[in-house]
Amino acid sequence: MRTLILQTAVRAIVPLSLVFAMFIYFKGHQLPGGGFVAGLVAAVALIVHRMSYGTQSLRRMLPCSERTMVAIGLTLALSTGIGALFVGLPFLTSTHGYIHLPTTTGTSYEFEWASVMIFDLGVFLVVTGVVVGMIDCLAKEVH
Amino acid sequence: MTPHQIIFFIIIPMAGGICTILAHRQRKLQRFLGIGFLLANIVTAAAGLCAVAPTGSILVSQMGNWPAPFGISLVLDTLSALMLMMSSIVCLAVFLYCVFQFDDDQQGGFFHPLFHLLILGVQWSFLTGDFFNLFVAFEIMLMASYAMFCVGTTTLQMKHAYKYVLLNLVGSILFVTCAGLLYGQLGTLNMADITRIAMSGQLPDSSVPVIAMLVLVFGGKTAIFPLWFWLPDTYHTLPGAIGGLFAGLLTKVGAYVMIRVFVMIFGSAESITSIVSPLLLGSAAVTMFLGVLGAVSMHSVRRILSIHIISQVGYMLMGIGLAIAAGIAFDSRVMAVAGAIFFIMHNMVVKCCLFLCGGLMHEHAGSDNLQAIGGLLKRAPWLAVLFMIAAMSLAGLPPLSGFFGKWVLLVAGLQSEHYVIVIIAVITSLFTLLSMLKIWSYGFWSPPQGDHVEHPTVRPRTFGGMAGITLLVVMALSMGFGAQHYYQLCETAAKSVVDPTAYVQAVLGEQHTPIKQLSLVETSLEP
Repeated sequence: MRTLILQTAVRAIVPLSLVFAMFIYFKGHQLPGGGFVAGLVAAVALIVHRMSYGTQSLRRMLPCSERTMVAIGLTLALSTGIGALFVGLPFLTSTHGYIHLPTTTGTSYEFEWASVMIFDLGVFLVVTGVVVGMIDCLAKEVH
Repeated sequence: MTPHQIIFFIIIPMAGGICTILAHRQRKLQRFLGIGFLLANIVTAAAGLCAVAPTGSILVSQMGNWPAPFGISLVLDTLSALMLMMSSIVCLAVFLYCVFQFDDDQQGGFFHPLFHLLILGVQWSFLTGDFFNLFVAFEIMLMASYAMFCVGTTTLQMKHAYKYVLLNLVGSILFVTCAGLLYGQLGTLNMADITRIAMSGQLPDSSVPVIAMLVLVFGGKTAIFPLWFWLPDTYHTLPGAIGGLFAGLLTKVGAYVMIRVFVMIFGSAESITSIVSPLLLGSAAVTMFLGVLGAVSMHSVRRILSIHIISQVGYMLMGIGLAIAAGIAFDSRVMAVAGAIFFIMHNMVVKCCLFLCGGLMHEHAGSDNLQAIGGLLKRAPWLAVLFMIAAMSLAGLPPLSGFFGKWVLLVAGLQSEHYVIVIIAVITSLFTLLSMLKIWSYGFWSPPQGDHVEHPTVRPRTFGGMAGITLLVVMALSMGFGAQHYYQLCETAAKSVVDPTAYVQAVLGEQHTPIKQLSLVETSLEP
């Protein structure tokens, strides 16, 4: 699959997909979306990159192995849940608040943050890690 | 233990899974971590048991602080606590066997994380108070078991793993379909809330077939007649320890869930018990009898033990069926359930122990075909002693644990005048003894026959295996000699299951509003 056309297109597709994944992730707390879908989108981007540039290039791009990514994701998800226990609330109880972000038009944008988002980041990492790892394994079998 | 701390039953195995993923390929570290987490698990289970058992109190934690019928409740009552206690001990014993007996190849890949995640699924099933969440817990457990089926990866194993995965997938589809239908009919999946609806007699007739279908789902997982066919065909391909883990936990989770669902949740709904009870009793009789006949006819240790699982499940079913039989007094119902709980606990320990013994026999003799091996009494005298105790316990010889489990069930059967099943249970018991003696006399007692099997010339290292087996035999002996104390715990558990008023109140709170009076608008969460 190492064609010039795909390689050129991938330079645009991968960053765009990753940005889109982030968009879905941040939107996901109240609207359709969230860590799971964002993880899938990010994984697709990474796999497309792997298709055109090969496994070695993908390895250089990722900060750690997929296995570690899954473990970190699970740790994040678990620790957000445990956090609530320290203040005497049930596991997974979340809290939220608002941040006012400046925009270009001068008005401020009210962004609602929630501690669930850290949990969701964990889900994101697990899904990305699992999908990339699985496809990598399957591709190895084929070749 | 405070109510919110019951989540430690889920945190500990999950943390174990994460840590062993991070310690990939570092066997010593994984082994060390595993034993640490499993010990922590036992301590938590003991703390949980001490918190609920003396007074029969119930600890409830609402996940994410969402109120009861809407969120997911985790509930620790005496029944759950007993199951958690036993399963955590079984897990430690199997783990000791695995890490010291298995070669690097068998412990490779994701063996360690899978082991912890399997425990996560099992403990979660024991703890959850929500029907859909139970499905999720089952899936976690099954996913881990699918992958563990391939530990060692022999061709035979892969062939049978395929059947196992396929059948369990069908079971899962049925389960989630039932959950969906129930949610559509009742508007809730919280077990306490469904119990409340069943107790108030508001259960619609249309949910009767759905619940009857649940017999299929859990029956398949527990391997009852006629849904048992997958079990004898798959378990015997597993290495002894993995077989022990599956035999000790997976089918027993099914039996536990049956007690929860058919006795506690729907036990008060006449329309359901009148169908389910004869179904379970009939199936129990056939299951226990045909299972043991199958065991007697087999010639391989692992095969005999695998088919025995089925036969033993029959006794548990008998207890459950009696508990919801028509026109049976409250005391007899409690007795039947307590007997079933005692029997599940006894069986977890003893069955797993026998599988581990079978694994070690294989290592000593180089085969587990009874027609080829023999004379193990001289080669491994301590193994022979431990095997004998476990086998006699399974057969139900007094004063060992199996005797008391069966005794209670038989008395409950006589009190409720179900004579046929009592007679079958007694006959089955005799055949169980026969099949255990078969392993004993061919494997341990008689001199080696035929010399077509090469006995290993080097004595295998069996330290870990013996440690695991000893732990389980000590548990089995304590259940036999301390039967009264264990039975009292089972009775406390059974009372709260047969009369779930306290359970409903603990989960839903004192002054909860019945769900039907709340309109959707009022209950919708803030945007």
